[in-house]
This record gives sequence, C-alpha cells and structure tokens, in this order.
Amino acid sequence: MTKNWKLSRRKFLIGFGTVTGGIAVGIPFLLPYLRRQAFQFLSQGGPPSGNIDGDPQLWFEFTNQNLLHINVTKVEMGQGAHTALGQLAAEELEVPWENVRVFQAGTLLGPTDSFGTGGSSSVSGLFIPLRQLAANYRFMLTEAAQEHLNSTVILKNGVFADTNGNELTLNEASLLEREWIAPETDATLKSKKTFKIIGKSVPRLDIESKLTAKPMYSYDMKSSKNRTYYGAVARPPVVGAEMQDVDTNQAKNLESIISIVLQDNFVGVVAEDRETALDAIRAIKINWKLPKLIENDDIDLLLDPDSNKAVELKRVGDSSSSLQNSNAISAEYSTPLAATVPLEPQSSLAELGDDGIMYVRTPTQFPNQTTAAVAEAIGFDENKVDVTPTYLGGGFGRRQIAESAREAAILAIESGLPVHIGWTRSDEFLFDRFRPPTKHKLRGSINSNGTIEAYEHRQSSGDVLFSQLPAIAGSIAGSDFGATRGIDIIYNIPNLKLYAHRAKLPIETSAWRGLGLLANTFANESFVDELAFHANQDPLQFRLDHLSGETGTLVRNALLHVAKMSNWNELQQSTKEGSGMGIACCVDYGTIVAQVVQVEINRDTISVPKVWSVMDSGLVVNPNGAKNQVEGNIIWGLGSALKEEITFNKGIPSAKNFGDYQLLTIDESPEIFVELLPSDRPPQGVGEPAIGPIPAALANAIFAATGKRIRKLPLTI
Amino acid sequence: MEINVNDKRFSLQDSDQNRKLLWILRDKLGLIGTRYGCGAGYCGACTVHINGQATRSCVTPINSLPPNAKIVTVEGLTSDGKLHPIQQAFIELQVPQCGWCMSGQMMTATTLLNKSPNPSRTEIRNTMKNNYCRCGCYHRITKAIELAATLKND
Repeated sequence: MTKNWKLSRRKFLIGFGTVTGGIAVGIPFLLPYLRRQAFQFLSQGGPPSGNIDGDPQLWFEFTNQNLLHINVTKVEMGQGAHTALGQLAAEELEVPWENVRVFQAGTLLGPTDSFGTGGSSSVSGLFIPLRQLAANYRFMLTEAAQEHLNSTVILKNGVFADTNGNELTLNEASLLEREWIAPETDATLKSKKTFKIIGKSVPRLDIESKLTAKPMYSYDMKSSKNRTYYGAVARPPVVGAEMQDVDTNQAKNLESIISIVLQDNFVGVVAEDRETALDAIRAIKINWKLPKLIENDDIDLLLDPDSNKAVELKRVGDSSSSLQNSNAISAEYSTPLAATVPLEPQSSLAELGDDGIMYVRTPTQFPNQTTAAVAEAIGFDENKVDVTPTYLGGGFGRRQIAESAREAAILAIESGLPVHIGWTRSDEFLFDRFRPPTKHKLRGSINSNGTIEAYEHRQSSGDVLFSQLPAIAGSIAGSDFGATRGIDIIYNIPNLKLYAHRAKLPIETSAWRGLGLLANTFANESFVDELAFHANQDPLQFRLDHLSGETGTLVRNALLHVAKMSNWNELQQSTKEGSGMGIACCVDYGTIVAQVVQVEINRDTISVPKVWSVMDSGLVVNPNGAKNQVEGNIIWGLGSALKEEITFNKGIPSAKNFGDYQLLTIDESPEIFVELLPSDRPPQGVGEPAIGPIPAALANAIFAATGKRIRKLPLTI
Repeated sequence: MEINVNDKRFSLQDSDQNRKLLWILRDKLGLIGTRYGCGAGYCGACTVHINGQATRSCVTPINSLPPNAKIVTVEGLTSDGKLHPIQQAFIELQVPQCGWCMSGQMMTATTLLNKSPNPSRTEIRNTMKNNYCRCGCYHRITKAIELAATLKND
C-alpha cells in the first residue's frame, strides 16, 4: 500500500471541542442565570482549545536525512509557536532538536485547525493533543520497525535499534509498506521527568532567517513560476462610504498599467510595479457617497456603564446596602480606542494554479475565515482555495482576516496574473479594527476589619469578538466575552457584582492583544489600590489579605516573589521626590502575573526606569521564548498606558501614520526583570497575560509618587 | 543608470529615477531584507547605509542618491557566509519576535558601532530611538548591541 496520506484529510479529532459556550437557546427567563454561567465558564475555561486532525502523517514527515518535518496549523507571528510546537512533537518522537524543521500548513494541504491562532492558546491548547498524536505515531512506527526487524527495538535519537545491532531510522520505518492503523488506545505520553526538549530554551527556529533577509513574510512573496504583478485598490475616504461613479480615463493612459478592475464598490488596478499601481489608483476619480461622519463624542456617549441593558456577569452576596454607606468609595476609569498596527502592513499574493486552485499567501491568524472570504469574493468553492499563511510581521489580533487576500484574489482572477497587493501604512491605520474604548464605574466599601466588604464593577465596551459572531450569539450571551476578559475578581470579597454593557459603536472594533484584559485589569487593579489606600494599608499586604483558595495561593506566591525581586518593602518606603513604586497582578487564561513598576516624575514627564515581572504559566515549554513574550507585553502595556490613543474626527481616525500615533520607543523603555515560577501545572497561556497589570501598576506607582490618582489612559500628569 | 548595492552594480531603467530606493531594492532587485513599515521615514524598518550613513530608503528617491553612492543593505552585512557580529549577537540573545523591524534595527546599530565601538546605554538609546519595534524587543536590542560591541572587539 503506497503512502498517500496528504490528501486523505481524514478527520479523527483529538483533543477538546471548540468552546462555544454551551448556551441553550430559547429559555428567556433563565437568561440572566445562563449568562452568569457562560461568563464563569469562559473566564475560567480560557480560549478554544486544541482540535486537530488525528492523522499523524499529515503532521509529521521524515526526510531522507531523517529530519523531522512538522506541518503545523498555528501561525508564527513572533510568539514562538512554531518552535514550541516543534518541541512538543520532537519530544514524543524522540527526534534530536537539531533535526527538527517546522512548516506552515495551508488550508488545502496538511493538517487543519478549526480555530486559528490567538487567545494565547497555541501551545497550551495543543500540549496534550499534539504530543498524543506524536506518541501514537511513535507507537505505530515502533510496531512497524519491530515487525520489519523481527525483534524488539528501542527508539533513540530518531533511530530504532535492536540488541543485535540492527538499526532503522524513523524515516525508513515511515516508508515501510504496511497498513498504518492508529492504536486503539492512546499510546503513553512521556513523563515530565524524562523530557529532553520540552522545558528547554532551544533557539527559535525562525530567528536566524529573520536576521538574514530570508523571504518569509507576505510582503516578500513572489510567484515561484511567473512574473509577479502588483495591485492596488481604491479605498474610501471614510469607512462605509459607497462608490457613486468612477472615471478611469486618466489612469488608463499611465505606462505599465496592465488592467483596471471595476466591480460593485471595488476598483483595483494591476501594474508592472507597486508604485505605478498606487499612482494609478490615485489617478482614478471616484465620487463617494459618504455615511454619517463619526465624531469622538458620538462614540463616547454610547459607552454607558450604568445602562439598564448591562448584563450581570457575576453576583456574590449582596453588595447594595454596604455600597450605600458612608464608608464606600467610587471611581470612574476609562481607556481609549487604540490601533493594532503590526509593523508589517498586510499584503497578499494570489495566483491561480494550473490545477484551477486559487493559491493565496497571506498573513492571517485565521486561515479558515480568510479562505471563506476569498472563496466568496471570487465565486470559488472553498476547496478550490488554498490559503497558506506566511510568517507574520506581527499579529496582535489584527490578522483575523487578511482583507488583502480577498483583494489580491479578485485582481488575480480578473487579470489572469499572479498579483501581489500590499497595504500602505495609512491603509493600516484608516482601516484598522481598533481596540474598543471602555468606561468603568467601580464602587467599593471597607469593613471594620479593614478588608473589602463589597465591590462592584460596571463596565461598558465596544465589541471585541461579537463583531465576528452571528447576531444571535450576541443577543444570547448579552456581553462580549472578549470585552469582559480580565473583569473577574481574583480577590475574596463577600459581596460582589460585575456588570458588562455592550456599546454598539458605529466603528469597527475587534481583537487587540489580550482583548479586554488590559482595560479591565487597569480598572480593577487601580481601584483595589484605591481601596487599600482608603483602608490605610500597604497595597501589597492588602492584596495578600484578600487571597485564598488554590488560585489565590498562586497569586500570593507571585506577588511575594515580585515584591522580593523588586525590593518592594524598602524601595516603596523611599521618599525620593517624584519617584514611586506600584504593584498589580492578574489571572488570565490560567496564568498568574504579578508586576512592580518604578516611576519617576519630572514636571509633567513620566518615566519608567524599571519593571519587575513574575509569571506562573504552568509548565513552560520554552522559557526564553516565554520571557521574550513577557518583555514584549510590558512594552505594549507601557505604550498603552503612556501613549497609544485614537480619536475620531469627521469620520476619520486621528492617525494615518506613526507621526500621529507614536509607539513606545527604546529610550522610553525600562530595564526589565522577568522570572518564571516553576510549576507542576500544565502549560497555560503565555502570549498575552503579562500585558494585563502594567497600566494599573504604573498608575499605582504614579499615585505613590505624587498622590495623584489617574483613572484615564493614556496616563498624563 | 546603475546603482551600487552591496558592492554589486545593478542597471536601472530611466523610469526608475523617481522610484523610492526601498521598492527598487525589494521588488526589482529582490533584496527583500530591507522592510517596509511606514513609507514616511518614521519607523526605521527600511534603514540602509548610504555611504556609511543610516538612511531611510522608503523616502529616498533614486534620483536623490549621491553620485557613485555605495548602498549597503542587510544582505550586505554577511560576508563570505559569515554573519556580522550584530547578527551573531541578535541570534545569541534571541532578540526578534515577529522580526519585521530587525533589519532596520541592525543597520542603525551597525552605524553606531562603527562610530562608537563601545557605546554607552545612553548612546544606544539615543541612536536607536527612531527604530520602532512593535513587538517590544527593546530590552534585548539594547543588550544585543552591547554584546555585539564585545564580539566586534575580539
């Protein structure tokens, strides 16, 4: 029997189903209860988990040199997923690390993934399923080798050996002609203490290529067989504008224009080079029918934490009476719109193959969604479209759908040529899917023991994930579980209420690194600091006094650890004028983060000399890679805390390039100290949690330094 | 007309005169190591050396190049297959995440190291502050430049 597994596309599923919330439909009087249950489920359960093809030969191939090629479904956007997934598979297949190569699967070839890449879930979600698949394959290969050699074998360094000195490589075993049958019961996974690769900081597989100019990003893609042409697309002056009439006369006469494509509400050109394509688009005259032009106030007024449409997420005890008494305090927090702006603007290469399949190379975190968008745009069946993600020059949630894939495919079909279309930076800003703005109203009271008696958090946010879901899901769930991420309280409080209001904004908002985590943690962890001050207690001790239970113990350990690292007790007492220390923590997708920020204030300038961060994310597959994620999240958190903000004026976002939207720069970056706590728990999320506490820790430090409580991002003195 | 990139001469057409160096390098000469980030000189992803000076190729039209300009791109950092100390240091400290800004970071850093073989933290921060890294690898970039300085001196 010859091996032809690649196209077999059998779908045994290994692992867990995709989280959909499990919410029953049509029981309106149970709705409040169900919504609280759903919130609890999602806030504890984390993101969609691994759900993978159970055919090992789709995932694992061996070369003649006995290298292991792993075809993975998760995309590599700098978070190190390819390397960490390689580590999982290599461990169970007993392949030496230097013999491992990782490749990106497309939607038509190789394994599939019903989810995509996001939610800090690539490694934690596949930790068991991918290892299980590899272990099962190891079992199948071992059986084949034993049968072939007619003796008992041991697998070591990618080679089977028996006691007579006979050897068979994994590759040789994989090529044996036999009926390959998956074991009826799962093969035993390696135990943690025998791990040789998992838990080691092996160098990331993509780093050397990224430093030596290898073509690996979407913007680098060219047709391998034919000359590549370049496309550009006319974009409306504001989102939602409709094309009225189009005059292409001037553009037609430009040299090196190949074709102009006119469709319903779509104008594109194909040219011999990129700059000509853009020139041609600018030369096309279009009358646009403008929608109502959005002003920032239009957005602001829709954010209403007190709305009677707010959904109750959680209720413990009865907070109402305690919050009425004179000892209660209240505060309002807010966070602005922010841009995602990965540094590589999106781009796509589309080429119709001789086999009638539209091949698209594109930077997408969700290849299935992008495939559907392309297929719809060009009238193809989805099984005639292959979307293979490239390496991403940043994702951060923006690459859910790569719009350029659709645009390139339309131009490729219409011109009959391979077309590459690259977005400009201003396209990225003007047509971003922004982080939604939020408002938060918090109330709390302290009892005679100096602990929190009652706590209430009412939050209002634009959509994060609802924009991607069918309307019915939104009306049942009531609140957007992306927007509420991070709102749950980690402290033991006898009377607690959490509410979320979904503000239906007239602009496109969506996933941004960590979703609601940053905004909600900013509000919660700042307000807890306010309560500590109100109770006249040390912010660290106050937090410790409210922690109990299993997770509480983990948070306590992390807080104590970061306090020790940062010399909290001493430095916090230091009375150096204009300097201060702030602490904050969060629990996100099972990962605990505790951070201390040191701030120095000089007139109206806020500078951050040092940040200390502790993370407990269970077993860490690649510690150095995880530390890099924490460092990056700290910079993201600081950028949001100090700089990043988008406003709307006459329908247009306030930035169309970095001149109007400044990212944190190296001279503003702190010295960073990161430690990962050892843990017996399985891997938890790594890519986002450490973004959570930073803005609150900084605001708390500013309060310590100046006595000023700042409740609005970006923080200004 | 011709341009000199990484000590090789390339012929261009007259119509390329008004084109930006970045797109000539990437789309015409296939030197894709020089990256596009903003097209306006803010982010530094497109940084190359022109006669030894760190220059934003995205805002440099071909017709503005000095006569006989020597252009060096990230592809020119490697000689005879040997990685430049800055590349070695960035690998050693596993600096990049997404990596898109890294060519520009290294091209700016090498001009600093050429001028100041043992740069101070302040020099590093001042020189590198116009090279954005959206992933936030600044901590490692700083340390890698310090490491490269020691490799260079060996």
